[in-house]
Amino acid sequence: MSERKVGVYICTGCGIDLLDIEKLVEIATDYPVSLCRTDSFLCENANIVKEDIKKENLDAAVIAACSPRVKTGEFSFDVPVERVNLREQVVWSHPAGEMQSLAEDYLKMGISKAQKLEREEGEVNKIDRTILIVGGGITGITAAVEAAEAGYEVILVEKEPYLGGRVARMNKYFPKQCPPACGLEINYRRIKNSDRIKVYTSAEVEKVSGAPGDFDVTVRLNPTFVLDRCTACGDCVDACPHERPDGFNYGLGKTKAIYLPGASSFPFRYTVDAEYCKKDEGCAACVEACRYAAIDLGMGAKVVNMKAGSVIVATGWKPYDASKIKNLGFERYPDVITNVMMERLASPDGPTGGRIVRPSDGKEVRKIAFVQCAGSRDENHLPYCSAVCCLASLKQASYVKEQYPDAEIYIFYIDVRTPAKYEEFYRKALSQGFNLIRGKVAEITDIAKSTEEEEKLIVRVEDTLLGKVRRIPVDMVVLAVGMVPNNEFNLDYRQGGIPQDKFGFFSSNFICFPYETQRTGIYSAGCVRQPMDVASSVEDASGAVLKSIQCLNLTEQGMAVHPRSGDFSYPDFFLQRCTQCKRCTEECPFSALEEDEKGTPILNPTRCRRCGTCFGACPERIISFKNYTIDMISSMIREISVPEEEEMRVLAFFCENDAYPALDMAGLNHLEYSSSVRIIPVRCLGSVNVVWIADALSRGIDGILLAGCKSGEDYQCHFIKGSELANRRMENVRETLDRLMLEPERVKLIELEISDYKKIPEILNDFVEELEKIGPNPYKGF
Amino acid sequence: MELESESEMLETYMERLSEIQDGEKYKQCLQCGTCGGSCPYGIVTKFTPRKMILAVRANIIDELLESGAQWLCTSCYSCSFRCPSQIPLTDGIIPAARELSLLEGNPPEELARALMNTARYGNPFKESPKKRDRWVKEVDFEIKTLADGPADVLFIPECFGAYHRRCKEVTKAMAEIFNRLGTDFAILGRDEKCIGDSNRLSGEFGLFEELVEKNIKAMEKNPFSRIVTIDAHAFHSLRSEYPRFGFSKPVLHHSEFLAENLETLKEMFSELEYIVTYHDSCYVGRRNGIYDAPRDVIRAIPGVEFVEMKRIKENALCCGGGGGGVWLDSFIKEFMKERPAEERVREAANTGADILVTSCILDIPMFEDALKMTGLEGQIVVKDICELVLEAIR
Ligand SMILES: Cc1cc2nc3c(=O)[nH]c(=O)nc-3n(C[C@H](O)[C@H](O)[C@H](O)COP(=O)(O)OP(=O)(O)OC[C@H]3O[C@@H](n4cnc5c(N)ncnc54)[C@H](O)[C@@H]3O)c2cc1C
Ligand code: SF4
Ligand code: SF4
Ligand code: SF4
Ligand code: SF4
Repeated sequence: MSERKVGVYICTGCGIDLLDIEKLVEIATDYPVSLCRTDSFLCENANIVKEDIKKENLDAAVIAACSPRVKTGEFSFDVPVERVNLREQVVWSHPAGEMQSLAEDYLKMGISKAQKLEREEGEVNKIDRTILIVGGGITGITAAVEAAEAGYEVILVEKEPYLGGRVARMNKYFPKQCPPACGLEINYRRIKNSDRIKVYTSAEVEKVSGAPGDFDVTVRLNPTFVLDRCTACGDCVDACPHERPDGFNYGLGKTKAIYLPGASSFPFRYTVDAEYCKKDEGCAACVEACRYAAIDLGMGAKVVNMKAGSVIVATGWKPYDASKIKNLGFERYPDVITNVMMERLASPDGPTGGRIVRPSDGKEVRKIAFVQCAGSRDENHLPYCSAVCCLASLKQASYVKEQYPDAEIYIFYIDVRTPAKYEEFYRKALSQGFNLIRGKVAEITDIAKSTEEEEKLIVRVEDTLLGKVRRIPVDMVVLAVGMVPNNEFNLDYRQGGIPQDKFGFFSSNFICFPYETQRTGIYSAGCVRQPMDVASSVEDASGAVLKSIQCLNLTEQGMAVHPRSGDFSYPDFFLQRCTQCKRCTEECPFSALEEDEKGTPILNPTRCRRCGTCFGACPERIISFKNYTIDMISSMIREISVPEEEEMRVLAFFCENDAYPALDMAGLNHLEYSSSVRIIPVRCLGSVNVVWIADALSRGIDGILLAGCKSGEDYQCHFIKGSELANRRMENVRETLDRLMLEPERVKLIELEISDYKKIPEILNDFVEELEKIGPNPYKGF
Repeated sequence: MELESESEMLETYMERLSEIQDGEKYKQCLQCGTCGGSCPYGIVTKFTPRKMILAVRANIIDELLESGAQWLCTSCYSCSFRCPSQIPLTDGIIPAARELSLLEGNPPEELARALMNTARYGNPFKESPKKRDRWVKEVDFEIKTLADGPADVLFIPECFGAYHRRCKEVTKAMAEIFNRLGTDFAILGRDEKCIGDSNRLSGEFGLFEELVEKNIKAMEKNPFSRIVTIDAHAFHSLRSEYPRFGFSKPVLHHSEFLAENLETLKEMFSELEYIVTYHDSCYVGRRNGIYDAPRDVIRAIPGVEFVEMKRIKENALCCGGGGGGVWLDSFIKEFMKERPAEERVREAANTGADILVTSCILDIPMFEDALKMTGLEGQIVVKDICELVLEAIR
């Protein structure tokens, strides 16, 4: 590499002039730098840097001033910048007598890094600007129209022959008690009016491969045996001699093998259920009956390949299998039904035309029980709360009340969950005189113990407010079952599908970045992300659309999408030296790396989040970023002065996201801590390569501290697995220490949150003290 | 020993809970009441398991102990099975309360006697340990003892199987099946002590540990490959509790053993013209998930028509004999008119069956007594599964 021109700028404001500035200038100019200037108000006078860059043709600038977290706008130039934090981490956090040597080290470290800094260059990617939406429920439909109306091409793939998902099968929506068909109708119209949306029903996404901006999508179009020219006249139904259980009605009632899923199905077209159709046995009754030649029983499945730039997964939920809740009698007693079945019973286009009657004998319902948390909030079944079933039962209880004003309605609950504005809905429901009984139902049988109980279902429950076990005979029971995510998704990446949380929902950073899955450019929205109501699903859809648009735009410019959005750097692999150990491909938290047959990593830059985990993992040290290489940090480490005397020297790697800001906060609050410590910020603890630790220890540095985010189930690591991996790599570190015959206590990993800044003096001072007890590193002076 | 104060009681209680697996989970109780609604005694008790937890939280344990609610539990495991927080109620919350009553010195009389006898004689009947293998004389083939040499199967009849007049018939039937199958089996004979599950569930944790140690020692006399037992409670204890004390042999319930040998048995079966229903005993079914083995065996007997009761498998109603329940009969009677066993035999009779097949030894005295009480005697007969099998291969 040719000699690089580096300019050094030392600010003397904000108390930095407490340092011996002349000495610092002397040190800087000892290096082959182009120039070194001082200024008492550098952020205000940043123009001098700009002018120098132009005049002197600088390749990089060292700004020795305040923290890199502040004045970012003022100190960003056309060349790479290395910030040396003399303010927060030197003069504001150390007594006058101790700050000079610290400042000198930091300055040297900064200059040595700047000499190697290269400009990060983003390549403009040619991308496909189509958004693939998987699942045509309320979430998927909303996402489709929002994206299309924002100017993006959309492919919407729905497994069923109709759009609308679960809500298309509902009678009314809480809290307004309005029909879902109304909102769906508007959205269907928006779809029809848009020429950007391609809708595929009876279609499944078989596979997604590729990368953001360039996904390859394989879609299987299942045969419906009915052509678009179908007028939905219904003549075929009269002719068809075979029946099937009505899946749309959750098995309540039957349809013919050729059927129209629902009264307001979109698309409005008949379909044949191949499982029940006897075409293979020669039946063609429907074909003969159809006056428009719209039926083609010879239709086969088709597989089509498409391209997309980003993906929204909105595959929604299915009801928990109530037959698994053995004590509640589902399937044993026909009058025990689930909440989703109740929606069909109450729907005007349902199996009874909207009359709520007992499935067993069609009789009216005088007494009815709603069993809340049927299999929910239960470690034996679904450990989580499905969020909507309390509201759904209150809504359904009012369906019953409407039809049978005298009906006795029991709702058995553990807690009634109707948060936020839904409280009003709860109040309204209460005023209808439902019997709310606090207790989770233990058992439903038909074993009568009195005449009153004969021919009834008996609900056995501990009324926990009354403190009594009660037997309550009813005509019908509705089990409020929860939602199970439809989480099958075939992502053809080295590490397989989209990672899930412990409940099976696509995992995301639950709080700050809800839509982000662990796969860049693939966003989850609606009930496959977590249980939610329709209003939240609609919001989710809009949010996910925004994220996928961002993804397209950033990817196109060659930038990282999340969370280092705007970062152009990406890992570069010097593959000649790769030993195919596969550590990087295994450890990349985002499955950005594929492998060739030999096991050599292949980077997908647009999947990459630039966390540097691969870089930390690589034992051959062949991965580097333009502005972050193993060698850069190694040369910084080489610049650290190692005192020969008793004084300790500690190297600390601080994660940029949380730990480093905490250190700034400590400085801002003028908390003093040991000046034996030299801090190097890193992208993530996952990007700390063990070689640095070995380097430092063999140079005689007494101890190493790694400070990063919380790992484990409630991880805070922004790169998900970074701090966890750092923990795991401590094993290797221990081996290194063993080899060097050093005490294991010399290397320590801690979790540090921004808000922990008050603990920083204690943490650092204690570590230095511990090291003092262990004694100096025997490699000192070698 | 008298516990001085309520706080001392609470401390003892908490200490016990902390030693029980997941004992601390009581803190996660949702107060949902699934336990109370599931308990066969929920309707009559003053303290359902849920309220017991409240009593502990409110430190009014003395009120709980006075109510006697802790003695109503027959360890049927329904509450624990269904508890959405998976709190160890049957193994923890209840026996820990019982332990306090024992320490206070006022357990129900009948049970106290059985526990004392077990401590002294190794069986609850105050029978001589020497008579434990008397039943061997009542069969016409040789049965060896583990002390004399190794065997493939160690057969554990447990106290009821060894001493109880009616239950001995089951033991003999099983021994005869082993004999017919040519199984190499042995018994512990006089070395066998009460396996102790009822003692554990009654809060006699110390006695339980003593019994475990003695039995393990007896089992070390000669090698064997696995245990088969006709006692569902012994089965559970040997399979799930003994391993904590270093015992590690496979343990089979006899219904599992029969199912395992079903192909051979099938060749020996002759027709039986019975309508048969099956009672899932708590410690075979709900507790250990064995639902199919006994059903497969019954269904394999030619001529048998198998009918199910309404509450089966995980929902089967308890006979009332477990957890010391056989010794609490008169105590429980004070609380309820119709005991669970009576409700259960009625349910069985309603199926139209001639035979109620059971798989836990305690079911037999419990159900036979209930048949008398309900006047169903003669209409339906109680048989252990191995008795039915023996009849089919005779
Ligand atoms: C009993 C009950 C009543 C309710 N009532 C209300 C109410 O009154 N008001 C309210 O606000 N909320 C209500 N909800 C909640 C509401 O149902 C959900 O918020 C809503 O369904 C979420 O929509 P979604 O699009 O995320 O999921 P879904 O409705 O499940 O849609 C997902 C779609 O994806 C499709 N799909 C699945 N897998 C694939 C695949 N691999 N490939 C292609 N397509 C696929 C499915 O077929 C489906 O069409 C209720 C819930 C329950 C349980
Ligand atoms: S919303 Fe209500 S019924 Fe549904 S799981 Fe939550 S608490 Fe239970
Ligand atoms: S930088 Fe991070 S996301 Fe990118 S390839 Fe490396 S480990 Fe994967
Ligand atoms: S079933 Fe479990 S969670 Fe519910 S009240 Fe009983 S102990 Fe508590
Ligand atoms: S184990 Fe059975 S008898 Fe005992 S408290 Fe639980 S449900 Fe009741």
